[in-house]
Order: sequence, then C-alpha cells, then structure tokens
Amino acid sequence: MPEDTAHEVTRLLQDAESGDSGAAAELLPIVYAELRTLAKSRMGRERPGQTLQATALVHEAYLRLLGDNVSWQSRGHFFGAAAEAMRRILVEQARRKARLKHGGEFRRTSTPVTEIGLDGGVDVAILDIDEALSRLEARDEAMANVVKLRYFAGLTIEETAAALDVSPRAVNRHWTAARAWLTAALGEAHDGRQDA
Amino acid sequence: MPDARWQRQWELFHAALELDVPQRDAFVREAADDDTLCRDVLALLAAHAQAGGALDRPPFVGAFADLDADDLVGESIGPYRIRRVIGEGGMGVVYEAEQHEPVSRTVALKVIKLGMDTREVVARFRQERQALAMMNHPNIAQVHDAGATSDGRPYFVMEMVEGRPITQFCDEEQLGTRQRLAL
Repeated sequence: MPEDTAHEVTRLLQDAESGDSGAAAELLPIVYAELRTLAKSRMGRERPGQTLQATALVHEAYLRLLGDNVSWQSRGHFFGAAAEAMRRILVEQARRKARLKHGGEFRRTSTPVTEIGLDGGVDVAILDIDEALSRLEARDEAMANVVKLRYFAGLTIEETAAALDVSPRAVNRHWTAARAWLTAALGEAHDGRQDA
Repeated sequence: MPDARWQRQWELFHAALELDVPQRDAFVREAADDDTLCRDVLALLAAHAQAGGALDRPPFVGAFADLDADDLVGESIGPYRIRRVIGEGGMGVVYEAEQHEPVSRTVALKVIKLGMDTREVVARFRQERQALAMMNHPNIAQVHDAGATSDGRPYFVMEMVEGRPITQFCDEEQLGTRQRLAL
C-alpha cells in the first residue's frame, strides 16, 4: 500500500514545486491518513497504554513516502503537510479524550470506551498550544510556520531553514521569539491575560 | 498600527538577548517607547528564560483505537443515533443511523472523516450533496437533511436503500467524476 501512496505523494510534491498550490493542499489528507495508519500499526504492536513520539511518526512517514532523492524544497512541502496533519491528529485526539472524560456533548448510548494511553497533562497542553499557535499564526505566519515544523514535525533549525528556504539564523530568531511568546501566552492563559 | 508595534517588540527582544543577562532589563526600560511595550518585552524575556516549557517536550500520540473510522458509532448527531459503519470512502464515512423525530426511520448518514475537513474536501463534499439533492429519481437515494457535527464536520442524511448507497457504491468502485455523473 505505501507504493501507490508514495507515487501519489511524489507527484503532488512535484506539482507543488512547479507552483500548483492545490497540490500542496491535496497532500494534507494523504499524509494525515498515512500518519494515522502508521500510528495504528505501531500501537497495535505495543502494549495498550503505550505512546509514540509524534515527531518520530512524522519521520517514519517521511522515510516510507519519500526517498533521499527529493529536493529540500519538496521536502518542505511534505513536512509542512505532515506538521499540519500531526497537529490535527493530536488536537482531535485531545478533544476526543476531553469529551469522553467530561461526558461530552454526545450522548453515548453503547460501546463502552476503554481509555488507553496518554498520561494526563500532555493532551490538555496540546489544546492550549494549538489555541495559542492559532493566535500567533494570525499575527505572524512566518513565526508560526517555524513552530509547526519544529514542534509537530520535529525538524532541526537547519532542516527547518532548508524546508522554508530561509537562513538558519532567521529560523533561530523566529523560533526563539515564538517559543518565548507561546510560553508567555500559555502561562497567561491561566491568569486570563495576554496582550504582548 | 499593530504590525509596527509587533516588529518593534521583537527588535527590542532580540537586541536584549544580545546583552548579558543582568543588563537586559535595564536596556529594555531605557529603550522601550512606552510602558506597555516595556512590560511586554520584559514578560517575553522572562518567558524566554523559562526552561522546560510545554514546547520543549515533544508531543506524543496514543490511544489510536479511539480514532477508528467508526468513531461515531453509538453516538447521536442531532436526531440521529449512529448504529454502524456501512461504508468508507476517501473523504467520508457512511453510517447507518436511526432517526426518531419527526419520523422514525433508518437512514444513511455520510460525514467527512476526522481531519479531512480541508476547504477542498468540504467543497467537494458540498457538491456531492448538492448533486444528490437535485436528483429526483427512484433509483437514487434521496437527501433528507444536512448539517454539521458538534466538532464542525459537515454531514448529510440520505434515504437508506437496499444495496449500497450511491456514494458508497461510487467510492467502492472508485468511480471518477465522469462516471459518477453518468451514473
């Protein structure tokens, strides 16, 4: 199954590189599905309660779907889609868990749910991070893009620079600033004030 | 002009980081154009000095059993109670559902998959719903209703017909747009 998907992804990356913005958008659902399939097969092999590092999953999907013979600009499109897909997976997972925990807005009538995995705090943090990141995105897209590639796709400063086609110094500045802004925003989320 | 202010804030922040730690606060107090800016930059510097924040821990994925295609089975969407999955395509899942009001009947409910609700997919989904709604033919399932789930994914409700629902048939046979139109 990865064969076909890999071909499709390679084709979309080529289209995206030659300026087809629709191709980049089409990547998202494919990469999303691949990440979920991958996560499920990994989780199936492990004991219940096991968790996977999200960024490791992204890199595994990358190895399965793309070879080394892909330009860094193409990889940038791929990791952009993968970071966004991983963000959605984590947010969806956290929302779902919160919903089940609190009885939720759905009336659950059958199928008892066994809650496995994810030690406390982490998923709640994801919702806060996602919310703060959306606010940052609205103010400074370049900064938010660096955060997405670093945090959700696990790229290094150098890899992020190559993916975004900017200097490592620029990435470093954006990362330092975004990390400080988000840390402040997350801290103040609890005091209920944020105006920096 | 909020943008200029945003830029200025980061100018001061990065300039302060070039200095030794004990000199930073004094520099900001001196250089900041107003009290609000001064307070904001100092807060950002304090946040910068915080180690082990949420962003320094890698995110984890777990509990994927909860995210299966049949994630809605057993739940209710509006007046529909979801019974089971009857089909799954690239972008959507079709469920058999029980409607209680205003009439009691079994319906087919198609909803966009988790995470698939990108603008392109939502547009295509709407087109499909529209196309089905416009058709009035005994061999084509009627669209009864449409809406969005509590997490914002669009869905539509079709007549439950013997055999496969048309969308499921199309998805399973992997019909292209032209074939779907021909059908």
